[in-house]
Amino acid sequence: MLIEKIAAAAIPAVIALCGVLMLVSKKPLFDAFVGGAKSGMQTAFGLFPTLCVLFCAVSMFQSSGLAEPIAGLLSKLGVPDELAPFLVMRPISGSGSIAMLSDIFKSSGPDSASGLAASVIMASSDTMFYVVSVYYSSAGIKKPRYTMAAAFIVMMITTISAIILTKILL
Amino acid sequence: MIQLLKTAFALICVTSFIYSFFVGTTAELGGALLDGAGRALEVTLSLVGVMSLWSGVMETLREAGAIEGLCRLTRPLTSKLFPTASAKHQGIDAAVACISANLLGIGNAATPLGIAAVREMQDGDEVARDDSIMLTVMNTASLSLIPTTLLALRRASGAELLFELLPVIWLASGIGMVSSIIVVRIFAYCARRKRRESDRRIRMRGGVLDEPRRNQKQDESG
Repeated sequence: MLIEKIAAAAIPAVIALCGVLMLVSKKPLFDAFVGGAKSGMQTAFGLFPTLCVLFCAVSMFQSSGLAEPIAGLLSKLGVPDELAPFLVMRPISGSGSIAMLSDIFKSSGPDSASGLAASVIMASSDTMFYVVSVYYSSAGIKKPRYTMAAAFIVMMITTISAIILTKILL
Repeated sequence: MIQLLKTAFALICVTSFIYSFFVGTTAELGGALLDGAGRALEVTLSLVGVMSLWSGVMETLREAGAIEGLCRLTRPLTSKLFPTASAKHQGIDAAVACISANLLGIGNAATPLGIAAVREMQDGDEVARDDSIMLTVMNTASLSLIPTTLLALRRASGAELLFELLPVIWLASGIGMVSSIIVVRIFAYCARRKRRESDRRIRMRGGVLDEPRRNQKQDESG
């Protein structure tokens, strides 16, 4: 597929562009690359304390089995039974939601209604808690204001529209 | 953020522990906790790699003036999405690079670029600014043209629909993107109006003696 080839070429192309610029330009671009990499490294290491707290809480949540009653609550609200555990996990854990997605693929098949809906939700959303925690803790934000409320509403809209769209279009 | 993380951490840990106590899964919690701490280090280490790489690329392109062109091209859009940051030239180049990385399907570059953008937009401010919230919420509803992980997963499980699914994903992502812009705008508008109202109330309190009492009553009822 052409589109996959383009996607695979995107990263090397960007790096190669940097190489071309370094050769062509008279500016100290290699120093800029190294300097940028250094600041990126410092930011990433600075994230470890936040990630440690976040991942401990997430792993505790996953192994306690608390997701089951929450998923039960969701399916009472009209969400398909197979989809509910996946929806609970999606905003909390990236690896957890991949595991839930594989479960749906195994139990009802990737081309079933739930399998398709879960696939679209997986691709059109990100791990909400991770994104917000990582961005805000590295920027030193202490008051997130309406961030979580807005992100939650957007997640609901995306989820509902993904379920409806797969039902109508596929 | 500290407060938000504190609440989330406390809530998740306490409810998980109580639930596992009643269901009888407490024995697994300890091991899982250590696994979680270990995984945090793994993720940090892999982040160190990608963040160094993409921050280096970003700095090179910025120094070469390549991002400036992209920013000028997208200014009509970015000046509407991030008005304050756009006026002050804070973090717009990183934000544009972050959104383009998402579009190109370079998901692991989007995180470092998004972090860089929010850091610059905040400029040390501890209260989240509207522009930072806009970028963050837009990134929680990621707009990716080619979801490589998902396609690989589907292919591995023998799915018949692979690329036929892409238009639906684009449509859903587009809805997510548009709704995140609208939702954040509404929240920002409400916050601004609330602030203006409280400002006016303080000014009234200084001017007319009778006004504050009436306003206080309104406060209590509202």
